[in-house]
Amino acid sequence: MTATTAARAVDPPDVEAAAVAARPRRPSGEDPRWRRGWLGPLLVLPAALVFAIYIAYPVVANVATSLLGNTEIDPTLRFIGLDNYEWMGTDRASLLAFRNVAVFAALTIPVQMVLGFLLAVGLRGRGVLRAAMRTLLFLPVVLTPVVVGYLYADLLEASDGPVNEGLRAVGLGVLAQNWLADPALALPVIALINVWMWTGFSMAIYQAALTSLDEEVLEAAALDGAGRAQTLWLVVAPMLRPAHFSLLILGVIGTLKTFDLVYVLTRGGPDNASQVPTTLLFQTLLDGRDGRAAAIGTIVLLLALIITVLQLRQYLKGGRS
Amino acid sequence: MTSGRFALTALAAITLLWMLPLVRLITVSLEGDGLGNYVEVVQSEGLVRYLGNSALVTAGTVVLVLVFASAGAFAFSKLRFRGRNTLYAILLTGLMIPVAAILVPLSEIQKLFGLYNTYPGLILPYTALSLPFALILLRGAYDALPDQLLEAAVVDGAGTFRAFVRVLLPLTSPTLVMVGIWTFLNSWNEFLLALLFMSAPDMRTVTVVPASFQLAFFVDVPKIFAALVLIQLPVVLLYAALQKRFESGLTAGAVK
Repeated sequence: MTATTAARAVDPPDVEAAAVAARPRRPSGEDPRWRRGWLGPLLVLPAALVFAIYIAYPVVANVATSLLGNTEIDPTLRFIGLDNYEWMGTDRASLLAFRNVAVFAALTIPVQMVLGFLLAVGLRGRGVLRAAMRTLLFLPVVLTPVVVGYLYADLLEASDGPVNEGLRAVGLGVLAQNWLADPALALPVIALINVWMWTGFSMAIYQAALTSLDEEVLEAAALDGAGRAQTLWLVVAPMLRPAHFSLLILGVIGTLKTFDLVYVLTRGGPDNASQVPTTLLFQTLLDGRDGRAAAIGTIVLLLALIITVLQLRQYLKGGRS
Repeated sequence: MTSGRFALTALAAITLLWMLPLVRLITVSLEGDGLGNYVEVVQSEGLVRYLGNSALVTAGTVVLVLVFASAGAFAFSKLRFRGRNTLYAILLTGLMIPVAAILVPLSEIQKLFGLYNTYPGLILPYTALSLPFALILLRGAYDALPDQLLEAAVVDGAGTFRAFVRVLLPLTSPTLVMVGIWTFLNSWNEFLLALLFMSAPDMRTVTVVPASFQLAFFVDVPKIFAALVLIQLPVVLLYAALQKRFESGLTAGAVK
């Protein structure tokens, strides 16, 4: 773009250049003609329209639908006030779903952050080997969650899956489990698969944040006699607060969206042990209970809203300092 | 502060461990008939059709997102009209919406428009979901371009629209690539809406297919795995070719 501007300055026609120079400076606050007019609204119209139909309206309609209810005998939706929310407060499956999503966040986000941080620190710098490892560790991030789900379903297969076979081969056969059919294990195992997929993402975020750190600060801390581990936790980690915060927020939003892995691996089972709000909502919708499904959706939206407000507050605080 | 030989060995071991599931995916997909597994899933189960469906939906979404978001980002960045800041803020709220949460009204809308089992039935919601993030990235790109560039073009006699398309738009191409990759991944990998809206067998996208394959091949795991590899191939090839852009595109939302 500098080339364009430079060319314009040298190029004839001089008349035009003169015209630009001679044009009276517009009073501040008034925009030139090319900025105004119908073009602006026209250009944002397609995006606004798609957004209005497929996001804005559904959000409003979802809240409205959550106030409607039907029964298995009479599928017609009628206004029932807050009954669907009351149902959520007493229904075992929906209580479990919201508990599980919190457990899932606690099992995945901290692990992904710590592992990603250590990998980012360890793989800092140049070298073909390091670059190759970074590429490979990031690879699961781009994979299709459904494919990952089917892959792990086979790895964890109870009778002759490679995980159990491997355990038996090294004499740890007692640890072989029916991983996805055990109510105590299903959710943690899916969380572990999530860690496998997303640790590379945390690593990439920390990598970007680390490169923006001053190398000299790191060296100085090391020279000060601080041990390597001390330097990491006391000097480097606190300097990466924006990255920690981003990963935390993205992690929570990502957890709220979790559907594919759970649906493919357990459908929320066994006995709702790995049920999450999205899978429960999907099942409730297929059962024809639109009002209840919408109520679940409204609570998920509300949680997402709270997270976003927190994020915005932090962002504004960061902007001021 | 670079890691020593011991640390590097440990990291290599972790990386290898991390790759084991994928190694297994490839080796199992070749068990028995070798590449014959791939030939069979392509021929007997019409995998090409499903790959084609996904390609069409993904391409349609990428094009719509790039066009709509470019037009919008340019207008929000360079033009002045009433309510533009409010509208921009409203569009950005889309960033936080988990699509599953609005599944009920979405399904009603698609029913109303008769868009079940049609390509636009997925392209339009995918576009809506990708737009907010695309708008942020592209607006950043337009904000970084000096106004004089546009003024100069306008003085040259080009209309504002022509100046946008001819002068500014090409200068945002690095961001366009980033947004394109991001949108491509989201649409190719999407499962929930595809599962709900594309139930007709010949309209299925690749993410919905493995379930039906499980039935077709019953317990023939190698063939299922061959199908999984084929589904994953476009993503992995693109990642191999544009690795840096992938990483910056996917992490752009987090690093300011």
